[in-house]
Amino acid sequence: MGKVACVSYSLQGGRAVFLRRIRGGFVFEKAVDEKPNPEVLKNCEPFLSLFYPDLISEKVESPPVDDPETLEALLKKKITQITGATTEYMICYEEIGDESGEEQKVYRVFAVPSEVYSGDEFVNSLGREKVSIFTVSQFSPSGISRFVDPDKVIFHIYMDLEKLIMTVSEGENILYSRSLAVPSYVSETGNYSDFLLENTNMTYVYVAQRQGIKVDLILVSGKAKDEEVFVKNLLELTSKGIASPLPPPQVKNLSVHTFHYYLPALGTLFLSEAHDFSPLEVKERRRFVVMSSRVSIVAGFFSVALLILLLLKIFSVLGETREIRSLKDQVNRELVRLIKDPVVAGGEYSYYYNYLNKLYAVRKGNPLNILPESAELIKSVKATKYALAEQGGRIKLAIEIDRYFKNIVDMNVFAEELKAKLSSIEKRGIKVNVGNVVKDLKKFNLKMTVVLEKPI
Amino acid sequence: MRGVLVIYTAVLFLFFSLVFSLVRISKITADIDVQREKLQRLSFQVKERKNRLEAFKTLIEKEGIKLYDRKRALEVLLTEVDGLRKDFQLEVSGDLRSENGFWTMDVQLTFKPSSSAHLRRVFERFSYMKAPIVKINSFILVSEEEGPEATLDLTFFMPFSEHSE
Repeated sequence: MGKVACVSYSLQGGRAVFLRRIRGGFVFEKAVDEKPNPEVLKNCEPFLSLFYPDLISEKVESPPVDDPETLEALLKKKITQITGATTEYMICYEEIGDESGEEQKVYRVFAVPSEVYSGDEFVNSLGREKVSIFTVSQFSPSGISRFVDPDKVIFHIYMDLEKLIMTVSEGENILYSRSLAVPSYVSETGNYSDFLLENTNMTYVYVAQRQGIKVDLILVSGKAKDEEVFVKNLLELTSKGIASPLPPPQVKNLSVHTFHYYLPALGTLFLSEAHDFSPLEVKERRRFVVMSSRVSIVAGFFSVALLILLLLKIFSVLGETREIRSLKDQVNRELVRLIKDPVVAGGEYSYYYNYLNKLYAVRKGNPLNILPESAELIKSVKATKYALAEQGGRIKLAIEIDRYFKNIVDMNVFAEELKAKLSSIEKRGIKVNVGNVVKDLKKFNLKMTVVLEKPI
Repeated sequence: MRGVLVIYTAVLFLFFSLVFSLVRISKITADIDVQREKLQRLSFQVKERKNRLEAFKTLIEKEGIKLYDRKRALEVLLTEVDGLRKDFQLEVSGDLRSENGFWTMDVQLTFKPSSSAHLRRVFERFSYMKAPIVKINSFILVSEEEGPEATLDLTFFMPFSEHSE
């Protein structure tokens, strides 16, 4: 976490507070009761507030404009018209919501001459983008007021030996600001109470009556809080609550005394960008850097995760590559062994293949394969001719019978027995054809042809 | 300011490089997976072929078949056919042919079977021959007065290998 330098300064001198960023806030490191050397701020985030007494504060009306650059140019032109001077201005502005309509917007514009910024020794020495905020010390008390009560209109009175600042604000919005240098006669006599009372009274009345701002609370800080007579009289005059602010909870290790002494410097730290006088392009560049830093942090975080993931993947790829290489070697070895096998390498494979195929085909188509089913028939019929052959994918057995019997009974018994045998053969999936049956009942002669067919 | 921006740019560059690398490596992993799958398939196929070859060799061994060159095969065939003349009346019914790696010869045998056991022996002799392989085309048994006469139409197939010449 980086260092932060809050500097409130004028032509005569300045005060600076150095803090260190911690999670959720800051830690006070040191305070310097002089205008610091710009070199000292080079390693810090500088929050600068210049005490410029001639701050211009105006309400400006403008038609609604979406483009911030055009709006800023328009508001600058109006300020130049109001002041009647030829000076170029740098502005910061806020829209006054209560007074704006849809067709006409009202802005509270604060302006300082451009040379205040361009001639600033801190800005020039550190570089425009390096400066976190460039504002006026008149705004700084509102940076503290917002922590006392962000919803109330607070009239904040701050005084040191050099200047008196009165800032009316509500939350982040600055409603009115007036400042003046402490005259030398007051410093010499030490009668600060009268000076304070006279000016705050006048300003308060102006704010309440002319500006129509209803003040809820008065804050007194810096040297003003030590002026008891003033505080007492102010209480009588305004009949409002008066308080003295305490160090904001965001800043640790900060004593009440140091807080009040360096209040404008510290208050600068808590001002919003709306109170920054830096040019629009500088703000945009700063926003870009902030955005880039956030994106980079996220990208950095993801990069670490991705790197781990990548390493894991690389290891897994290396492992898988090794596995694949060994698998490849194994397949190659097996393939080579297969190719070098004598049966394959010598071209004998097709020889044995054809040999075995022929052997099995011949065995399958062997006409003798029908004998197991027909053996009994063959034994019993005593035929004159048996013919066995393989024909059209079928094994055929043709039996020619030509038998003489003693009597007709024997012949019929034979015929019946034959019929029964053929029927039993048929049941075993053999096709049976009986043809050319000639029965000679006188000579007891029986002729017939039996053809059995078995599919291969 | 410039230094900071350079660092941010470097971080973003690193981030995108890592994303790019991851995408690349994911593609490589996918390719590796495809390769591995192919190799596993190939390995499986090689193993299958190897098993089939082993089974084939076992079958060759079991059947006890041998390798003959063209000349030797012819010798075996002719010797075998000649040997039949002792037991049968033999007639070569076709030309000796060389077809698709086989010497082929058609033969007709005529004999008078003395008994059914004799017939069975003849059948078994031809049914189980492997060199040459004998195809029984037809068998005819006719009962004559002087006893039954059998005719066998056979085709002899004797394999030979062109490579072993």
